[in-house]
Amino acid sequence: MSKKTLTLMSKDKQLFNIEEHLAVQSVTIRNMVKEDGASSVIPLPRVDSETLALVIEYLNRQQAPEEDEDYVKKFVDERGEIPTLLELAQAALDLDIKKLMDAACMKVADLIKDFTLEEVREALRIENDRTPEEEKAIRDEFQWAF
Amino acid sequence: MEDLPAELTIDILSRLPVKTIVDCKRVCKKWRSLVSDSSFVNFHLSRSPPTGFIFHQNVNHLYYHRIDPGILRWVEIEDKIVDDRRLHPDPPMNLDLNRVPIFQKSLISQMGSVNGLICLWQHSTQQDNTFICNPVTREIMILPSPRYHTQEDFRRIFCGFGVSSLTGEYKVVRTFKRRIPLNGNQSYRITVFEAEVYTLGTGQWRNVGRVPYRLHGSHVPFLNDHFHWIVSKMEDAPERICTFDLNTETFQLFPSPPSEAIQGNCIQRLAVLKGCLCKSDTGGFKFTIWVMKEYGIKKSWHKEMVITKVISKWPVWLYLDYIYLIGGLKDGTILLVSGTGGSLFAFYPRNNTIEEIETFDWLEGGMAYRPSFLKLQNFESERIHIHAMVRSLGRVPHWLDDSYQPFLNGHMHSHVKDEDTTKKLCIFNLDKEMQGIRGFAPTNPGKSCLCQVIHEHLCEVVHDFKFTIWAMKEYGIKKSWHNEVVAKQGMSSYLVAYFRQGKTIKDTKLFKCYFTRMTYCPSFVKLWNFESERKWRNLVLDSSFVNLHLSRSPTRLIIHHKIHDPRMYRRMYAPNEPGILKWVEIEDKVDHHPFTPRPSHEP
Repeated sequence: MSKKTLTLMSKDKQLFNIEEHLAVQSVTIRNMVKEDGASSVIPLPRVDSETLALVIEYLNRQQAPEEDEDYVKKFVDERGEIPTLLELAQAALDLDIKKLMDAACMKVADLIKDFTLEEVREALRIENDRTPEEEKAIRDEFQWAF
Repeated sequence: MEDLPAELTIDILSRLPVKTIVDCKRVCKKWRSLVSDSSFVNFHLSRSPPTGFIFHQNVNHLYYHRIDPGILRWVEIEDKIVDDRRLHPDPPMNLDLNRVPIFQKSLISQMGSVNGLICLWQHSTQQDNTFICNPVTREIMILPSPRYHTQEDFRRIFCGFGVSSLTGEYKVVRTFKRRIPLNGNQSYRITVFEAEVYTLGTGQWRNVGRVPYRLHGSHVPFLNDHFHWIVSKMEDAPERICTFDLNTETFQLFPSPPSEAIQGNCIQRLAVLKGCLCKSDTGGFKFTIWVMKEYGIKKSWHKEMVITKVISKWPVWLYLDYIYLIGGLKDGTILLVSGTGGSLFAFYPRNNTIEEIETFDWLEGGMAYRPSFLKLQNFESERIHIHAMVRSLGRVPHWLDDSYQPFLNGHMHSHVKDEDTTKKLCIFNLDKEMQGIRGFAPTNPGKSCLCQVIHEHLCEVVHDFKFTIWAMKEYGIKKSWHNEVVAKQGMSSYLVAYFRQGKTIKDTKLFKCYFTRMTYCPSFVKLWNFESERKWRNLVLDSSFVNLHLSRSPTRLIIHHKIHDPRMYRRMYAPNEPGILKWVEIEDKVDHHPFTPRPSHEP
């Protein structure tokens, strides 16, 4: 029996092929396949091609179930850049791949754990939306935060 | 990259240590509201492992024998005690109970902890109060007074605190001793044990009836929706453990471990170790831990470990002390506290060694603790205190008369009592938090006087052979001080009214011997609307109404702090007597029978 192949399309219109039995680790894809057979291309409008390549690499892994935990951890560890991890987490969220998302979020949390606030903002590209006065008021409040 | 979706942010944040999450509220407004949201609170709670212990340290009580509430110290412990085998306390994670006004000069015990909430009990011959506290949100909730105070023997009260897995209700249960007449005959009384339950949010204690057995054990562990007590040796019961079901609110016997003959006096105690009920026996020169592997199955009780001979520099502690089991770590290490010295010990079963953890001493207790962001404000019926610590602004450069410091024009005012200076006032600017001396006071050095605010003017009330009021007509202008009132009459100790027109004084014959008098403007300003507390429940009173009422509120009320009244005469010297706050509403002028005291408010 020949294995059925699905085609995924990234935000920048690149196509990726993946075998169906591997792709259905994503709950989102599984539901799509169930509904309409997914004969055509599955578009993923929020995932760019680099991230999708990573997700495909992850889905294509050939690990025994007992080694899987370690593999996910290592997989994420090797891509220890916060922007990459966030993209990956977001893609995993969209595709509903729980293990990958958990691992990516855990890694991000580990990385920013010891950051200063400024570093957190920089790493996650969050703008500080407070005026210096507000900032000071809150700092005073949390000086004795516990 | 676009904004992180809220789902991802919540996921990442909830994996951080609690202290970091508190810090992260400052990253941006969105994060702040995310962390305060109940969906985050619940998500965090469902995910956070119970990786910490909260220790109650009290040097002042245990060493100096002072009445002192002590400090709650929280440590996050990973799977094992790290390399140098010391727990690392983080000073910002301490909750100094002495800084909480309601706890000052009292004794506090930790009674239990679930979902980041800690049940505290304040006890003495005069006090019997129960509190729920969340150190993370800095909230302290006072439960209403229980129906029965058992002041004669408070050691007979055993509190437990738990949460129902079915309904999510938080309940406090306390058993207490009560003396009731036998067959209606008042002269013969028998002692019975009863229990009361308080469900958070309901505002009242419910009596759940008699406790079928005499119980003991000051620590009431909570597990699987049940509280657990040891049945007293005096009772003839087939099992030696009694439980109270949180959902059905009934007492029942519970399978206990097989009894063993132990030489001498054996002290038994229940605890929870790695999610299992366990019982520790101290006595007969050994410390035995029994563990119930499967909850409720009698056969699953087994002897987990016996500590007899320990390799330690403290060879004698085991035989002399009453030992508490605090909990276990993932690597098998067991934390113990010795009752008399309050020292924390770690027992390593693998190499059978015991070690004192010197960073924690003088402990009154300790328990496993899982921090959470649960807000006590979400319960509707109880009084909540926000534990905001006092900020220090440094030394006050003058010796100030601190009896009463009136507030006017954004400043606090107080007399300077330094010897060599002429009469001066020290003012403190509340906005800038700066203090300075102003030669405000009228030139009458050496006389005892009181600083007051009357009719929006700063006034000095001099009370010696006659009664004089100086008023400052224009704030801050020294020349505007003038002699407003002089009355030659001596004063009685009653509240008096002074009539400006006739320059006469009339005795009201009401309210004798006041400690403090001050004017009071009633308002609906809600204390919990202040920023540090951040409670945005559906406001019963809208803030625009509160402000409008405050701006219009025409009457001035007088508030009295009554230091003694005839009823209190006998216990006048009771140092903890707080007195009574009474308020009266005074219209524009005083009539023949002017003062009608309103129902008193007793704080």
